[in-house]
Amino acid sequence: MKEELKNEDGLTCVKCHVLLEPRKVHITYMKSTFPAVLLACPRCQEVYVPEDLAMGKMLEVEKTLEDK
Amino acid sequence: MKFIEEHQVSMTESLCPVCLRKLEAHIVRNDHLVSMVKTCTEHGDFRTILWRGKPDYEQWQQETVNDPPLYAPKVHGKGCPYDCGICGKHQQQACCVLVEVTSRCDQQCTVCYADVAKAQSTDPSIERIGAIFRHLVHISEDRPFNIQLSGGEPTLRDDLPQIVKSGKQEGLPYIQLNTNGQRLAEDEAYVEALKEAGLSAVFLQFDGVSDDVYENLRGHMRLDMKKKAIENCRKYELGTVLVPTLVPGINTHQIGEIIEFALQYLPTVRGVHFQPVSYFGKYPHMPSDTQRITLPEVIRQIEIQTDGKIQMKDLKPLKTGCSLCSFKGSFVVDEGGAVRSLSSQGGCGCQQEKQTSEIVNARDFVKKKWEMASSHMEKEGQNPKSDLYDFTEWDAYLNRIRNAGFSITCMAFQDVWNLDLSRLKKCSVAIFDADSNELIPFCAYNITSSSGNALHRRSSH
Repeated sequence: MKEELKNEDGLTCVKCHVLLEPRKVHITYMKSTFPAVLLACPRCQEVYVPEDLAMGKMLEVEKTLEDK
Repeated sequence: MKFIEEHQVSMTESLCPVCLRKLEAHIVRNDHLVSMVKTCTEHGDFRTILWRGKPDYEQWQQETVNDPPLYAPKVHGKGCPYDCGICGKHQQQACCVLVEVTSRCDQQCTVCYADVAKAQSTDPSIERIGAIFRHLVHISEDRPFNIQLSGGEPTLRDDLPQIVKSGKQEGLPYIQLNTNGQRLAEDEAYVEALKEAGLSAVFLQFDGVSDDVYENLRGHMRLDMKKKAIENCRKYELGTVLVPTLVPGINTHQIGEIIEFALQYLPTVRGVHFQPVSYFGKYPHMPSDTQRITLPEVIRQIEIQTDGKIQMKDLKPLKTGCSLCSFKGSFVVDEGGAVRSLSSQGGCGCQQEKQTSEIVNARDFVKKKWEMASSHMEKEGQNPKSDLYDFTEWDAYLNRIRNAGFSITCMAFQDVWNLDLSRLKKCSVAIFDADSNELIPFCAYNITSSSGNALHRRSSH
């Protein structure tokens, strides 16, 4: 059972100044779509990609898809 | 009546096929045919086909990124290609280095590049090979070269697993075995020992999907033997690359069937690596153009013979070396059985700071594509907060690529008839010459005159 993603650090959107909220998003990369629950701004919809995800799983997928 | 005038595309240098003297060479185009034309004042005119049709010769060529070798000890004497080892004029480091562990062979191939000794000869000792590995690690730049154990037939050596082990202990990250597969088919314990020693992949001579192809090219090898070799590799999780030498009239009609065969053996079979035939050894008469299949023809035949499953646009020149020498494509078979390209979409477009050289990328590409991921490999979960994200679909996708991904690659070697020295200077495949302790570009090492005299290979000196 996955722990529910929460905005424990109180991250806010720099543009809208509102707290980010967990939201189901679809990340599309080179014609492949990957679902994920990430923190996003409820107003402007901007999604926050944490560093550990960007440098972990996301990079792994990029390398696999792109021969990086 | 259609009349198309021949015109010159470019100029380069080549060799006289008879006396091996350096000659000026003209690359000329006549409609869709691109040929090399050269004249030796003593031995006459020579014309050899280089390229037939689409993709277009000029459009295919792209600027490649090359990393000149820092280790280039040879002082210029007579110039390229007479001075090889790698000299200061060479523009590219080696991606793969061939180490010949024996000159003995159990086949009598009609198309072998290696000058296989008919008589019994002495194999280099395991200590000597260990010293060669140490030397190669020492002179590698950034990341050690990929190694191909070659011959002769390397599996004639009982101590091959120990040789692999010593290479891994010296720090070589990728060691592949070039073999006809006979011993792998007959001796399962040997396959297991190679796997345990750390062998990365098997580069399996695989010319076609019917016995007559092997009878024509190899004398005796049968398809069921190849299948058995692959099955043993599957049992011990040894990634296998099928390597067809393409000879017009013999097996060029089986290009599609070879790919289909490969798809049946995923993920053990990691890909198909085509090699259009080159003409080394004694050829008193110039091989005719009908005896050659050029790189664009291979590309077109792949699309035609797979009924468009693999498309021409998904096969691309390499970013390093010379784009006229090779192509590559990465694919995955999706759940519905359709083949999808992984390499034609041009990336995400983000600007990434260059951290590694293209030649290191090329070495890593081979390792990543041809090594088989172990089923015991640790599954995903490298992210510190992975329990917060649901990666089920991401992992399923990555596993799909691991288990149903494959590559189609090709390398067109040069012979004395079509040798282009500007291509040779960008060559990234080298042979370690045990006599001189030098790296010699593959095509230079194997060049022979029409009477069979070698430019570099020692046994013919």
